[in-house]
Amino acid sequence: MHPVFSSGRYFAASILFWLSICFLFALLTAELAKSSIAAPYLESFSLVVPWYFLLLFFCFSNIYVCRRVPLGSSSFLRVLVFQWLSAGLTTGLWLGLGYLWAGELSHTGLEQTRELFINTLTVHWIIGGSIYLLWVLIHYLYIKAAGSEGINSDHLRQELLVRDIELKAVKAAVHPHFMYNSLNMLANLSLSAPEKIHGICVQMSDFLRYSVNYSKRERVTVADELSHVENYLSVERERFGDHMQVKFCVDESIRDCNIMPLILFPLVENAVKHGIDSQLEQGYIHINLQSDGNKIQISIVNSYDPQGRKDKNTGLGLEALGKRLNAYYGDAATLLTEKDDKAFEVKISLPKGMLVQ
Amino acid sequence: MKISAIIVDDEGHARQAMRHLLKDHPQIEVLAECENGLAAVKAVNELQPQLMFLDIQMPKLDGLDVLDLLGEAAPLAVFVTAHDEYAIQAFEKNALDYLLKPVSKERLASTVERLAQRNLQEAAQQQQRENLLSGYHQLHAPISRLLVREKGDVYVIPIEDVIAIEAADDYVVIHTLENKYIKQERLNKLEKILDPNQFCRIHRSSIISLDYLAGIENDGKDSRLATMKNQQQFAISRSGYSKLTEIL
Repeated sequence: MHPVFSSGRYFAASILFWLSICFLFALLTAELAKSSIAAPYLESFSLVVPWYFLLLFFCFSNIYVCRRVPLGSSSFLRVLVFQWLSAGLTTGLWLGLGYLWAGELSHTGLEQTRELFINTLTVHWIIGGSIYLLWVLIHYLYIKAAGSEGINSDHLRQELLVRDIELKAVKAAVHPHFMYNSLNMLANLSLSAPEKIHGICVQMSDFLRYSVNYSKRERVTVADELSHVENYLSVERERFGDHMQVKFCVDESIRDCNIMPLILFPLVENAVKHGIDSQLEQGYIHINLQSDGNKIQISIVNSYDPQGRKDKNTGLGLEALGKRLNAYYGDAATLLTEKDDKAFEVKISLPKGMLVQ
Repeated sequence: MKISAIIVDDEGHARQAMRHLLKDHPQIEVLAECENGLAAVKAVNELQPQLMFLDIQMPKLDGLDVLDLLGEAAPLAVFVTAHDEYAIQAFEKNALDYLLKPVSKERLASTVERLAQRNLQEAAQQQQRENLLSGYHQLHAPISRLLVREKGDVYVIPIEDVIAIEAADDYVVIHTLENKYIKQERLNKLEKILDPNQFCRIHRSSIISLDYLAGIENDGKDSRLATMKNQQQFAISRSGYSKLTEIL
């Protein structure tokens, strides 16, 4: 498709200006023929205006030739041969049409039209050829301009995406609520059970170290990820006591596989928030990691109370994780959620240790 | 003079710590610890404490829900919160005392001192409490459920179950398919915190849910009746009718 067709205004403007040019050419043709034919204006306008109008579309077709032999990658000789050949063929075809049209007009009353055509033929092939070659130039310039614009916007889009993903990873690594709650708990324990504080501080340090250091790594092992969420859960277990039941079920063979960092934490954090913190009764979290051919299947199930307190940002964490997975693994990873009256499940499937960047 | 109090918090550590901190203030006598909002409502009914240390973030019923449910029966509340920005906004607007977690000894001491200076039965408290609740509810509007306390029992009514709400004296009657509930509340206040796309005030004394509206009948000149899907009927005033036709 020629770019001029993509906008109605541009198309209308091209047609109007081109029609004006056609009228000027008709005038020129009449002036040139005046010496041999008396008062050739009617013939000239009837012949030239529709015929030259068609020339515009003959020239538009040249954009396909220009795309076929782009200036950047084709040899110069090839470009020259292709464009001259197409200019010759197109102009020839157009002249043929003009001849037929002049004959047609001669039969229907304007007898001098064929004579007019033959007398001015030299001028027509020079003008037709030059206009065609002028369009070759326009098309090459257009392709160049559109190309560099496309490269710029693609580049910017890519950069924005990378920034966005980095930001989300950082956000996943910093946990103001967890810090608030834990500090709070430590303050409480210092009054009621100070002997527990040391152990919790060690686990929190390990947790933070991983969040800060490992989140920047390209890949971590499944075992790293597991010990991270174990640290997190043992701090939370102190807070919730018997309200929280956690069960791990992990295929030992995948412990050393590589995966994207911070996949498990947002899932487990969500499970604690919605499965434990928002309901009165005891809640549970089941963490399942299984090997399945060349894939790892992750499933996190938590108890769910549809009547529980609902948070406004529900689902944001999962959405961000989905985007990170997509940026990291492409279509090779999937994230699905399932919900019924009692439980909420997130299932992730990703390639085993293979990295697609 | 001793002040009787209960501690309401869903975390055991927090309750223990508060009890610990209150040891420095022997004039406050802790009658009970409650681990959720339901237990707090029950404890207030049974023990009639003068004061409650009330955690805001709790599952199912939060601290402000407890206050809403208790209505006039609520004792003076000292709010304890970690990071609920809405609650903090509401407290600041109403100049109420609240404690931030973790609670510092100095801050608690100044709260207790203030308590001693003030009459615990002050009438102004009721007004303050109402302002607080309506402010908090407006920040959270439209609400997704209504809370009702009848004798000792607490009912949570999802907003989509509500067919209509009728005013009667100083309380309202909430109609659902199965039941009727009575709540100490004013219709004007409820109107402000209900979703205006789902509920319409059709009369000085009634709000109906558009989801349950089956039809509108003419009942003489200038008077109309709204028929609900359960065949209940409510009078529509002239201004109510124009409001209704605007939404529909």
